[in-house]
Amino acid sequence: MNIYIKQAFIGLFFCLLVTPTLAADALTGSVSKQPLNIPAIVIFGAFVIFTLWITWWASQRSKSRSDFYTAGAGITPFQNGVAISGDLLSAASLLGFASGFYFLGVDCLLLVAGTVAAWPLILVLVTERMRNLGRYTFIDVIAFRFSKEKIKPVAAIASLMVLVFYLIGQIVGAGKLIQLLFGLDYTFAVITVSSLMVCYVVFGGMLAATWVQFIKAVLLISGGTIMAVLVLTKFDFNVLKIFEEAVNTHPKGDEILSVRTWMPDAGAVISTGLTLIVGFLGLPHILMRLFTVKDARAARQSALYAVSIIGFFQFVIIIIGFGAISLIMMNPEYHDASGKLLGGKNMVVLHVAHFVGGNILYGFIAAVAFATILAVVSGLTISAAATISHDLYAGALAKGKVNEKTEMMISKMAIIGMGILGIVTGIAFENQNVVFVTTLALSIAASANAPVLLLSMFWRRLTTRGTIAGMVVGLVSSVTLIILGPLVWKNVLGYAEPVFPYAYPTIVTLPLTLFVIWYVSITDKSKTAKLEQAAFDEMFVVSETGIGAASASKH
Amino acid sequence: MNSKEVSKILDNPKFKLLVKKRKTIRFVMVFITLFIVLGFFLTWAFAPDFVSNRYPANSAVTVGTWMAISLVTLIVLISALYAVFFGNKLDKLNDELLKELGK
Repeated sequence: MNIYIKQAFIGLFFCLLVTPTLAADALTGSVSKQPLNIPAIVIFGAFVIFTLWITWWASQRSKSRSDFYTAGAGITPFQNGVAISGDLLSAASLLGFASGFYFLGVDCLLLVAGTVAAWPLILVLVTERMRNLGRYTFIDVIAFRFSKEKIKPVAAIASLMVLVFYLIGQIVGAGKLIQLLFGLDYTFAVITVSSLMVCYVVFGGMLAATWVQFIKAVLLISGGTIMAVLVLTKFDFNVLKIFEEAVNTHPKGDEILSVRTWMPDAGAVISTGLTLIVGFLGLPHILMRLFTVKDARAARQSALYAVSIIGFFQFVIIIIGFGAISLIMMNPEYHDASGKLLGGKNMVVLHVAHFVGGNILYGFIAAVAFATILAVVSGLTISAAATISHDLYAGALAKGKVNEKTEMMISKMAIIGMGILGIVTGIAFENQNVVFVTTLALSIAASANAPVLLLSMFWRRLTTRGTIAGMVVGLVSSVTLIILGPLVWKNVLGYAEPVFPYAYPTIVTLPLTLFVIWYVSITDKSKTAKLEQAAFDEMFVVSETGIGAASASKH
Repeated sequence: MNSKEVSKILDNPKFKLLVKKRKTIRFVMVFITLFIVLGFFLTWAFAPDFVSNRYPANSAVTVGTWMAISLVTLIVLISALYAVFFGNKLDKLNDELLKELGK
């Protein structure tokens, strides 16, 4: 068994060794510092003051371990649903999706489909069973009938890699965005984001992280909706007209309506779809939110609120992204002398905000984009802290014999560690092209976390050995193929042709992982394997009925 | 829970009914979702010309755009169908079972 753990460590070290040496010019990231944006700074300042006040309030109510990790399971389904939608509606989906439509056209609708498609599966296969089986993290569920000391370290590494890579992508994005939107220095921005994140989570735990995410999501959805309505007024509320004028304006003309402008071939389409859909089933910070409500029913309701909001927001982004083409593409106010979009590719949404709503709406959307990053990194941090203190320390190293105080202490140290990591990697990667880190996070979630989570709940024959082998293979194959793929091999290392053709490797890594899990589990004839398979009965009863599930603590 | 308790619940007719109903609903839901989602991605991957067709014919909106809009709408609707309609039915059954078991 140790060999699997060792392999996982080697994989992790490999990544840590390789990433800092990936020296290349930032291909997508170069931005120029903009003049100070006063309305944006004022609105964002108000957001920070209000959320810090919430954090102080939350700190009065976060005394126990369960308060800290999951807000005592006392969040309402509506609030939780909005917070989950906030986790998924990150700055990437606000700024990135709209820019995708603007530059590449209809082919980027694949991202929209991939973002919503997983939800019925999450609802039917994951929410209720997981809420009944777990307590603080999804690793609790995986370890339910297996050897905790063996499963938890491996699962914790896979989970942490997802969270840390996601965090790096967000922080580097935050630095650039703030430089762009607020006219503040990159390093100052990275330090501000990391310190605020630590502050929210150390003092307020999950309760503060949820409120921050909730407030930001409300701001984002209302801001986006106002923008979409203002855009529609320019087209007499006729959606067909948006597309018609876009084609007439865009230099690529008709081409923006055809597919294959973004995805090179059928394999790339399938692999991207698989990664997005299955990846969502394995994101630790989203899964953890299902434990913040009182029972399985409330978890199911949260998921419905989340998918409704996310679905609605996709329409908002489509209207803004395609509307932008005829509104600003030919407008000299938003382009420099050489005809490039001012501030870089990610500025589409911001320029539209300025066009339809002047400086105030521009400032508001800029502040919301900053708040979005802050809220997402806070969610990632509380999830990473729980993984380190609850799974890695309490579950594996201390073999379950810990007192609550030590565990909380460790989780607060982990939060501070995440803050330092954010600052260090943020500064180190300033001029790197970090698109691959988010892809890596999602691929590991899809290839290592999701299959193991689903199979542990639905497949009796799964054993400890099969779980560990599957997670290690999913992790190592994702990392390897992303390094050999276009995002790292071509864009970062500068080779002409990638060894592996697709940005998202899931089309290979997911079947491979499933095969390994299946083969290792069915050939596992050990005595413990028999016991683990027999323990499925109890797991089944608990998952279906909720008997003995962790319930809400009173506030 | 000890193994005696577990096997007692496993043999309970109400538990069996709950499990059977939930299994059927789950199967139907997963089937519908995969039909919609795989349909979308496979069409997008293997029939690019069809996806790039215009509908209405003289407009600038493509079949693919309508596909994406329908996918989002359908996904929200079937999620609601499960979370509200089927979910509440199963919850009722589950509550009855828990009452009978005295939990």
